[in-house]
Amino acid sequence: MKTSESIYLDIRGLRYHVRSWGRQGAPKLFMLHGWMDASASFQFFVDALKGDWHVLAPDLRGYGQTQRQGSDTYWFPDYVVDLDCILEHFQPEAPVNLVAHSFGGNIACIYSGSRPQRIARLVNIDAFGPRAEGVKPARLEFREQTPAEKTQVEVPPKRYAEWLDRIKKGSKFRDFDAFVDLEKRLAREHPRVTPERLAFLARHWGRLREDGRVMMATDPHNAQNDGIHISVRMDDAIACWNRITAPVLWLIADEGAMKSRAKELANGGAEQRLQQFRTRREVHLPETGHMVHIEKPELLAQLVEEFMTEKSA
Amino acid sequence: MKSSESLYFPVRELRYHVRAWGPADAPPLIMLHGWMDNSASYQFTVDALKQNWRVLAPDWRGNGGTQWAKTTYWFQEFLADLDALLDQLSPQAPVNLVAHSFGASLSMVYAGTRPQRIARLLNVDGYGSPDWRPEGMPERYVRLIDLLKKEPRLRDYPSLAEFEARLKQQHPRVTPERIAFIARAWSRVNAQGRVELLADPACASNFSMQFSSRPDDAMACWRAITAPVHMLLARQGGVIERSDDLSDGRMEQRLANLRTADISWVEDCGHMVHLERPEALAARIDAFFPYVHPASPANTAAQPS
Repeated sequence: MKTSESIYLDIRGLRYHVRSWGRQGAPKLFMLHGWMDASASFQFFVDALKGDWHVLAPDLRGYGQTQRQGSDTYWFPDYVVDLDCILEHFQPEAPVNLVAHSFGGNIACIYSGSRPQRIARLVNIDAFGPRAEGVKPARLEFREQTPAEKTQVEVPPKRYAEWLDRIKKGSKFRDFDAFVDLEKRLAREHPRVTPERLAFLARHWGRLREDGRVMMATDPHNAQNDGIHISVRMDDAIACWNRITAPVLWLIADEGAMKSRAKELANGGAEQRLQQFRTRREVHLPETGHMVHIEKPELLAQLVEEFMTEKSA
Repeated sequence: MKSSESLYFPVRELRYHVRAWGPADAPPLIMLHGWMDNSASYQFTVDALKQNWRVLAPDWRGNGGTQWAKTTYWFQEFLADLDALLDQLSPQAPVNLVAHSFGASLSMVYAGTRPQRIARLLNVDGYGSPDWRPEGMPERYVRLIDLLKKEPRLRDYPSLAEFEARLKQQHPRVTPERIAFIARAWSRVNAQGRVELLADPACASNFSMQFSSRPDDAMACWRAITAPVHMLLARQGGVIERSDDLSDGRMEQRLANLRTADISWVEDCGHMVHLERPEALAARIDAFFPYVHPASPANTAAQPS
């Protein structure tokens, strides 16, 4: 197992933790983890890399060892701004190679369209953008609503009200007697992941508290992601995706989002989104769930290394 | 001048300051200030009210006597603050709201989100956010990134007299006495003896609030409002200042989203109605809100079901 070191940065008043593997001075590879994850889960991917890379992976705000905000809601655009600060710190001049999974992929895609000149190459892993739930077709297709669409239940006030109700209730994670109990829990959620990897993940997704119990490292307020959904809209995301100029390798886990979000992504929903990326090349990963970097780290490493080292057209 | 008292409430992670005028058992009226303003500016309006209301005016996060937020000033944060605050100010009865500018835009969204919590809403020159299209989103993200990366600064002044001179320039219709009052209410003298604004410098740009408040989301909320709304618009106010996105019938388009709205105009008045024409605002308040004690049966009957 390749060892990582921890770098701490002050990003907009928060103490950010960035995990670093490999040789200083080697070509850099920036990694963004997803919702309810942390940088440590890229360990297996890093172990499978063959080339000489300097891998840098932040724990996003409210995750892993990065400081919590101290408030009850996390907002999508804050992550985009944080990403810009992190990239500027490590690689202010040259455009970066970015690999991003799920929620991290959504951040990376919006960012890549907003600051296209900052991105050399982007690997987007199973990240299809905002939920279309309740988003009217007119918004997706840039046209006037039909009379029938106009009478649909309005989404924004409903979403706001649900969010307001949720923060009043508060968010808590259960804690565990010991890491093995967390492992058992994780095994249920991630049936494809080996016990060794689960034991590793439990120790990074969980944290030993002073009283000897094991708590989740993630801020529970991140588990309720209403704020994230409120603050990124489909039409805005599409406008950003359209502006990406860097080559994008789009990895689709056939048993990941395509299954869990089948309602929006089946029947052309996924293609409609993919088409907004002009510079993409997509690869389907059969028999792979959403957590590609944990389930198939060797395959991911191979695809990423091929893509990052190929000659630009 | 009617005297006010200061109340403090825990609102989410912050300590909120609420300015209160009038007897505690009088019919309550909640007054919300706008961007880069604070509750004290309602003093002149309160002085001009004929009815003896219990006026409760919070300072928004980052403003006046309320704590500064450590997080970004997103539009929706204020929405949740208002929700938490109303739970404490009026846990049962729907409230009568007077709201200016940003406070008004926010109140309209809130009134559509929690229609059962608002009895009546007087909107003072609040139109919602600029009419931005999705196509401009990448540029707006760049602007947001550049804004939020910078250490925010607000200029300070060598003396109150110079701050007053600056305010006079910005608000030429406001009398010198009122300028002198708000200069003191909006600022403090810092350790270096200079006069600085009370507001969090991170609030000095309202771009993060505009960024996070899209007009079509807001309009969906406007359409869900059930309370009677009165739009009190300043003839030389928001429409003039924002002719780009409110001219050519676009303001009327927004207003058409309201089920029940009366519109009236304050003539010869700019955006800061409560500073320029507080008597006109007070008269409108006394006329628009039924002066009924919250516990009385008449008021209960008047509440929306």
